[in-house]
Amino acid sequence: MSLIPDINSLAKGILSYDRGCLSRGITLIESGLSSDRDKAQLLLNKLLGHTNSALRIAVTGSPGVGKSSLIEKLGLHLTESGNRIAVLSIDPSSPNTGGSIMGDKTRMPQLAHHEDVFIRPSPSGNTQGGVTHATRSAMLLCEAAGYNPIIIETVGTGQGDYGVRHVVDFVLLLVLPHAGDELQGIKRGILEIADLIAVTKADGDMKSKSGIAAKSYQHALGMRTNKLSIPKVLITSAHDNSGISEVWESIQSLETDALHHGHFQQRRQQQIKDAILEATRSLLLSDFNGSEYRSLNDMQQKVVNSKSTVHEAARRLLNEYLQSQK
Amino acid sequence: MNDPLDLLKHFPPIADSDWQNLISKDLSWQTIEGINFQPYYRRGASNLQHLFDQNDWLICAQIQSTEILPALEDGAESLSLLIDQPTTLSKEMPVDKCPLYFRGKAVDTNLFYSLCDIVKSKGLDPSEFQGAVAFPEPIEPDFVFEIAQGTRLWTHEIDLCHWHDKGASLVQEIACAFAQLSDIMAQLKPGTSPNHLYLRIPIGERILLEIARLRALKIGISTILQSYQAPIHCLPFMGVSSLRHKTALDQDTHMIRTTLQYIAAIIGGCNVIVSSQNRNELMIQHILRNEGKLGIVSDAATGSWMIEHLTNALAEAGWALFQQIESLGGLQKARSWIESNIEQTHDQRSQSILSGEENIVGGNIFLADTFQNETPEGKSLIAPLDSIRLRTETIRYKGNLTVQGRCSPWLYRLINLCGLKMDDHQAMITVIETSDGYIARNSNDQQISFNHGAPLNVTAGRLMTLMESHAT
Amino acid sequence: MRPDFSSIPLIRRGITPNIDRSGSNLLRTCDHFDLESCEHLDYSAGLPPFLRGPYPSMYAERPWTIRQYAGFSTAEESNAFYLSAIAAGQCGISVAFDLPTHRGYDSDHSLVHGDVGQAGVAIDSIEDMHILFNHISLADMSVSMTMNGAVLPIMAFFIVAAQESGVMPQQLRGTIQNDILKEFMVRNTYIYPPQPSMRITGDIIQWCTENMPRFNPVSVSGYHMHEAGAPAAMELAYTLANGLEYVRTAIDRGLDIDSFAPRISFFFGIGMNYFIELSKLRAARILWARLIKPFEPKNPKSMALRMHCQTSGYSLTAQDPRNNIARTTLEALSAVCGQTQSLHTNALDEALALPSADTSRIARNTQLILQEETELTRAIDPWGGSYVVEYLTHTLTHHAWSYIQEIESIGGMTKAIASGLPKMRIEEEAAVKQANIDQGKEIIVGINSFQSKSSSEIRLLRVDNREVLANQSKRLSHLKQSRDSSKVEQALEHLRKCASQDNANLLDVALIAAKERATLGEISAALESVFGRYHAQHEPITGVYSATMETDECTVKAQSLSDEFAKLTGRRPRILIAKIGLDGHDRGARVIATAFADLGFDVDIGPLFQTPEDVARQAIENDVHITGISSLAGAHRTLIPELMNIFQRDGRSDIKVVVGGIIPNEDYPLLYHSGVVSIFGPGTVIAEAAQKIINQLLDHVSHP
Repeated sequence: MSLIPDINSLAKGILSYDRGCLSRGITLIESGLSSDRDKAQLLLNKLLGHTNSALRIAVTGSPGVGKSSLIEKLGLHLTESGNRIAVLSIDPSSPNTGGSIMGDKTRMPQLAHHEDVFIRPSPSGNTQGGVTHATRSAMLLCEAAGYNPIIIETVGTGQGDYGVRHVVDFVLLLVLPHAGDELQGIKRGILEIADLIAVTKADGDMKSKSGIAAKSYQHALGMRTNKLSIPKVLITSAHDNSGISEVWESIQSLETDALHHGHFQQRRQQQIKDAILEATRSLLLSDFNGSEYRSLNDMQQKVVNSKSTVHEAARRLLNEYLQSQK
Repeated sequence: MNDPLDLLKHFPPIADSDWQNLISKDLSWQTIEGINFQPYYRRGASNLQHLFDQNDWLICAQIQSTEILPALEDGAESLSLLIDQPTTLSKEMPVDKCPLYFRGKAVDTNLFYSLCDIVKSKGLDPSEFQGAVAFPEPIEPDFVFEIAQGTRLWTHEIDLCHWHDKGASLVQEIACAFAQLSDIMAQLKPGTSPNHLYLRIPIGERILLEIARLRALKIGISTILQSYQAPIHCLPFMGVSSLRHKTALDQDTHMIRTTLQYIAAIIGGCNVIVSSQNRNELMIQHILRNEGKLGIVSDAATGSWMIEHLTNALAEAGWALFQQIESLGGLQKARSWIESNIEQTHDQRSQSILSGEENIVGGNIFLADTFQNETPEGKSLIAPLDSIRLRTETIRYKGNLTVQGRCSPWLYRLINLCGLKMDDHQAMITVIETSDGYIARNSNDQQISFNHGAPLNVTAGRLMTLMESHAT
Repeated sequence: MRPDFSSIPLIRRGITPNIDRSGSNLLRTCDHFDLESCEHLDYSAGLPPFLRGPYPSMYAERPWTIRQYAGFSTAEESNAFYLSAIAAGQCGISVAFDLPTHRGYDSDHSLVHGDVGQAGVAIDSIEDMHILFNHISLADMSVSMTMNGAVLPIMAFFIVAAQESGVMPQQLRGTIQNDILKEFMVRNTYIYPPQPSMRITGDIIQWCTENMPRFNPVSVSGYHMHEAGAPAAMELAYTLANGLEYVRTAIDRGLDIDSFAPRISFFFGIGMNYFIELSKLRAARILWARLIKPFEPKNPKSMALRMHCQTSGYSLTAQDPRNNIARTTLEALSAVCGQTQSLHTNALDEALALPSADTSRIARNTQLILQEETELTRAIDPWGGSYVVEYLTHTLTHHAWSYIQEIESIGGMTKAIASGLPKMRIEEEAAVKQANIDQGKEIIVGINSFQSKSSSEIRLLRVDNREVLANQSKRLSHLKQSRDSSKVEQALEHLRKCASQDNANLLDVALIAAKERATLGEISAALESVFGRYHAQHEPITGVYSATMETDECTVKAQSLSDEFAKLTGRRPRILIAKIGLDGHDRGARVIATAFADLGFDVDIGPLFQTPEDVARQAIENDVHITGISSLAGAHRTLIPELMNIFQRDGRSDIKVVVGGIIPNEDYPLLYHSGVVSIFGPGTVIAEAAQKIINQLLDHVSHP
């Protein structure tokens, strides 16, 4: 366990772009200890004035689609233009063992080496999907440390992909250059939340196929109902380093557009509201879980013996919990 | 994409003549056993002989009685103790831990009975206890079998080391084993089960032949026991390391040989394999079993065209020699005859090693530069060469020698053996090639002459004397 | 009644074997095996499919070549070793290069100071090559060079050095490994990405086919896969599939199959499972002939698989090294019974360091005894016909064939490797094997059974690589002063141009640069500027180690400890597994990573070839509790103290450093002194190491 210096030094360090302090700040945030969480809140408080300063982008897609490769090329492109960028990636923890393997830096070796880049892989832990207040808070710390833009990388399965849109300004969905069957396999939902789609690995034999795939996705997107505009579908290849600057230009124009129409601010405000509610739910849940309930076993038996329904049992439990709060 | 392997479609079977046509030389080979072998055997009439079902063996350590605990900790599964002096067995003998094998000049009925007492005192059933109390020569088979009746102890050893150390070839060892067995069976009351008999066999490093020899023994033993209408048809084998090529001054190299010997012993089907007091040798057995996975398959040589052929050839030759011994009236009567045969083999072997015709790595060629002051192994044919090298060390004088004329490989070997260096500048000895050999001269003008190809140890000895007289 | 034996013949019986199936997966179904149904029983030696040997008379006319692989830090020392080995009975030379050379760096490059001269000879220019072969007539001596990544400059130096000493390319005999596909799969000493690498491979095959008819331009290697954990059938299949890919590359360039196929050679590892390993070699020959036949060769030699074998380094233990003599002996026996053409036997201290003169001698003597004292050189394929060997040959052939078909269905080895399939398969096997060893299911003498109480007294050969570094640097600056720099630059520019177009044979062009005294680093960099340097990306596997360990007590304890730690501190224990320096062997590191994840750690895997700065930065950025450095090649002595200093400098000496791998006992004090908290040698049970680490962390939490 790191010998964490006091919160003041940490905050100062983060503001002066000290990599080690930023890293330890993120550790505090990720910690499951309630004492650490309190400290983390203190830290965030100190830094609040220096946040909300960066563009937040999520890069998501199924395993193997090439997120890290694309992020590396994109990151290098950004650093060439003088940006300091942070990448927060989330790797799934095993529900059985609790452990995880995070190999992202092996997939972005050049970026990991760059002076102006901060890359932090995190395990998803117990939280389903993993993208929660921790990610949001970590992002805020990175902003305070002067990184802009911030890229969140997640695997696009389970609830994580839904969660991530509550935290970023734009979601970039990466897909492989196979149209047809794969298209059916992509969950409806993920297509709904994407702001920009990029076909990856469009090199060599795949060049022609990617054009076709792009068109299929465009078509599928056209059938969405709840978006004001239809996202673009781009074609990229990390191997050939093609399409990368187009991705960044598209993001920038999305940003300009959204700022101009006010959507940008609206979205952020909505996100904050959602985040407050989410945090409240989470507090409630942890409070609930922390106690023991006599009625649980009784009700369980009743349901087993077909004497009661699950819903009735839940009502009973909730009553007991509310009573205990008085 | 499913492309079936279909070997025969792509490659038809090959006829003998196809292969023969590619060979221009005669590649057949002979060993000291005098049998002619081909380099290569193919599928012919069925020669699948599965000769034994046991596939694992007992790891045995030969120890002094003070080393029992360490040996057991090192995983010895049985212990062998040499009793050459009259001994009282300690009550701490680990009869409850593993089989014990006692052998030696001083094994007697006292030892036998005290062993049984110890077994009983530990609450064990003496009829179940496994081990050996091998009575020394001269043995009365009836007597040692009677005393052992009701136990599982082996009391009569057929020791092939006796013939091996005299210089026997594999065929001679096989024949003597058969002959000894026959002599014993002839002396037993009819119908007596020879289940207190075992063979002690020294295993060499000619792997294929050693495996074949063990199997050949099993064939012949089975035949003899059946002929005597014995109720059992096989006997246990205790394999020990052959010391014939033991290079005492190159112990690490000798471990290679020991490994090869154990491999042959395992594959050939020994029931017990004995390691000497060296912990390393025990470990070799563990490695071969656990990592090498030897011993999983019983009689792995079954069906091998080459090894089956060798098995049959050795068995036939051994049988023929055995029949000769029998026709002379049995081993006891034919002893001097067979021993003179063996002596000839010994001389032949010794001569080829001492002249350098046959290479023994670390013994007469590829010698180590430095060595410990070890005692040459008495039973090793390398011993004379080792002694010479030790002599170099004891006079602490590695001198220089120069050669006028060609230095043949044999001469080079001689020089290496003596620990001398070739150096023109400070040579104490000059060797000159002559029409039929060499002359060696020291700076006192003393000289000796020797032939090319003479026994290296003898010549080395003379050369050393020449050098020593230079020193004085 | 004494029977009359003169009239009694030997009584024989022939019964079916009863083979005990315990302990070996492959032997499990032996019982039902009908030997007579085997397709291959009537094949022979010297005729396709060469089951029993690639030549008709095999050892009966000429024994295998004793070829001991060796590299001492400098060309001078290597040369001295070769000369003495030749005098002591060795008949072929095998050159081991150091890691910077493999990866295309000159010895004075800033990234490589810890690795220069360790594990092999540093070759920076043609001058080093001249020294390497001083007094050795390249017209008479067969030279085998293990080089893949920087194969172009090395071949160029070799050819030009030979020419300058009067030996023409046509006369040169030997082998260059030049097997880049397996680098991408397991060994990681590649430089450029797959496509340009394959072009280089093709250029070399073509050039050698046209100019060096006695030289083997590629040695398709299974050894490294074996060491990475591939079982026999997999090693066979993937090696031969790689070979097939090279054949196709050459055919695509318009070469006739018979012009190069007879010169393709193979290199297998030999492990401890005696019968399986020997059968593997026989199966290899059948399979290769079967793979080449469809190309319709007119010369049957095109279908004959010739191989070099090396006894497995992985099977050796650092504990009780004397035991290794027996291991190497058994493995050598296996290779010889399997009819290999040449053989390297490991020295008993090969697991610890470069072999010393004494241990090299024993290693060589193993082969000499096999040649001189066992009569094995009289027999051709002596185990032919044996029930168990023919069963295994049959089974391995078919099993490997199905793996090959799988590769073919993906589109060949290049595509398969890009997909990551072979590497993943191999890693799974490695994790399973480690778990079996850790549980004691698979017994390794001296490691998990029969451990010795005393530590070994072996004198180790130490390389003081600072001296090597200094000498090489001096030599390099001298070279650069005495050559014509404009001509060098011209040659390098020409090389760059030809690399970016597809119109010239790169070896042809490299020869010019070599002649002008361009260095290895300069040639490699010129190519890198066009091709780029490749960074491999591999998905790690999980769940395999823990599944195999099942309910092993040690595992459960480790898992509960990591849960306890998580509860106490709010985070799971987090470890960075890093490889410092140029050593590309990552089997050990990857097995440990997957095992630790299964034990409840959050594991960060670092990329290969990291400097101490890189590793420190990663550790700090990810805020790990522990950094685990995996070291196999000796660079640890310089690089780990550097790492500790950097942690100190950056205020993070609270990050604990542990070291795993091949660390000689003599280095322990140095490492502990620099602040390392634990050293885990080979044979450490992973779950036990995990427990130790967590306990140390827990301690620190309660008493900071």
